[in-house]
Amino acid sequence: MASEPLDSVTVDHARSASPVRSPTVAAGIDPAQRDRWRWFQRGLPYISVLVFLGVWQVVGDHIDPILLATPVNTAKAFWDLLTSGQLGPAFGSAMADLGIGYGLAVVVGVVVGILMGRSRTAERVLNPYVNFFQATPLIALVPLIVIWFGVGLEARVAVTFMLAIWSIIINTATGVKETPDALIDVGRVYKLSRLQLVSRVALPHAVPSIFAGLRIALGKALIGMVIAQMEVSVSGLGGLIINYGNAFKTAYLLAAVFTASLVGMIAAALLEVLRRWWFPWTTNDDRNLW
Amino acid sequence: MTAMGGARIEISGVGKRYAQRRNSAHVVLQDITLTIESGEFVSLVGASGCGKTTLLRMISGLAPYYPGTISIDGQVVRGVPKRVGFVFQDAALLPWKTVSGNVAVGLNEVRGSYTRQEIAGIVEEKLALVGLSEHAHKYPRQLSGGQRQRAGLARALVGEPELLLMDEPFGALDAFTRLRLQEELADIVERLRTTTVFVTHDVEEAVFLSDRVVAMGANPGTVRDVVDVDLPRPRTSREAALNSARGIELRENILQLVMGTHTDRVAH
Repeated sequence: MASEPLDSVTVDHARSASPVRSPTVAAGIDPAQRDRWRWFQRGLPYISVLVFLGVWQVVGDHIDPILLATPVNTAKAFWDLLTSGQLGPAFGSAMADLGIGYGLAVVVGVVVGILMGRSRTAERVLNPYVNFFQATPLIALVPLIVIWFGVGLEARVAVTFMLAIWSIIINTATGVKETPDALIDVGRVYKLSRLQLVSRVALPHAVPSIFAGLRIALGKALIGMVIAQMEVSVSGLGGLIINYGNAFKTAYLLAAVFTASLVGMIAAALLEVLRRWWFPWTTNDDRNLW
Repeated sequence: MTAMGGARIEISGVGKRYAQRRNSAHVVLQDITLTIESGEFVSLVGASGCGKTTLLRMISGLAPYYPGTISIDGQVVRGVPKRVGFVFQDAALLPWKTVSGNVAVGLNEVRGSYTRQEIAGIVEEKLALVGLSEHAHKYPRQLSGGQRQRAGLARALVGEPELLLMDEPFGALDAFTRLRLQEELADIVERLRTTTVFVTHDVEEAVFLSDRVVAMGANPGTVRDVVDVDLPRPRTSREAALNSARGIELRENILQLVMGTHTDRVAH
């Protein structure tokens, strides 16, 4: 009760303190109109995609279907691939290659990153290699990987792993290294062991940075996975893409490409869910905290 | 007023210098000798660069390697001593832990002797002491600056330390919050009588809280004088303590000492 007059005072104060607000707010536009504008803004991504698909359909209808398949034909091709039992296994093999290669890169990358972040010596020893591989177009190494690992699952996993790991190492090392001295001091004052300083202070501090690295690495892992399925062993989604490309079946090619981006979106969403679930404090959204 | 538990600190002939270029070094602290009695609240006051924070870190064992010795209850400090509570400048809470999780960090040293439930109980009790009970499950970034520093204080107190070290704990807070926390700290200190070393550049804060104030000079950091703050305890009101005739006299006196004979009065 007592807080009511106080609140109104604060509001008045805020208003008078900032006479130059955005004109839409100050002019007191009809609230219904403002709501409609907001809904329109929120719907814009969907409208944008629908308009794009419409234009594509119209343009595609007037072009040689080998050059560009229409959205409708692509959807039909997608359905055909799905019902003929080609898409399911391809999707599964894409997920498996990605899961194993990327998963290994996460584990090894985080461990190496911690080591480089905490130990000057490790950093000095490993930095030349990290810099070299980060600068090298790693796709150029695919033939070498085939020589080493053959053309099976191991090779595809190796390509995926090789593309993904560097961003994870770099971001983990940076996050660990940038742990504020004050937090390390807290750990030392309260008698954390050297190992605990890493596991309870430096590593948690690096979590946001590590997840930023994981996002970048996921994109690279996807490229690695598809390239491997196209070039190492013609299999999975990459295999569908290259086979239908060679057969000039553009609609089927596009259907496989969209499935590959679906794999990417699922993986990215999974990563985001895990982050919010395991590390709610990394989110600025207070609904997750209370 | 009898001093209960609490460490006794002897600092003798301590210095600290940082190498700069070849053959030159910046002397941060020179020949500091000082004894802090058990249960005493001592403030280190001085302008920036007088080495007060460095001295505090040396007492805490966080900054080793220096000439001279610091001993706590007769034991020469090597590494962080047992049963120390430290309140950091900007609270230094772990962002990934809730308030109670952060406070529990202060129990890490003695964790083995308590069950999980006992720890929760102790943490709760200290949160109540600093008035944070309602915020136990919040994360640091959901707290105000003052609340963060309360949590930092609870973390320092939770292990029943024999020595409490505070590094400009209220320096970054707004004026009102600072005054309120000073009064609350005075109240807590009267009750616990833990030996406390408190670093600040705020002379009023130092006079209000301390039994003795160490006035330090800069370049190199030295002890200019140690002033007995003979204001009566308990000091419940900041106003009354600082604006008494003696209070004003002490503040003037210490301010003169800290500013010294140097010409940097027109600094900035």
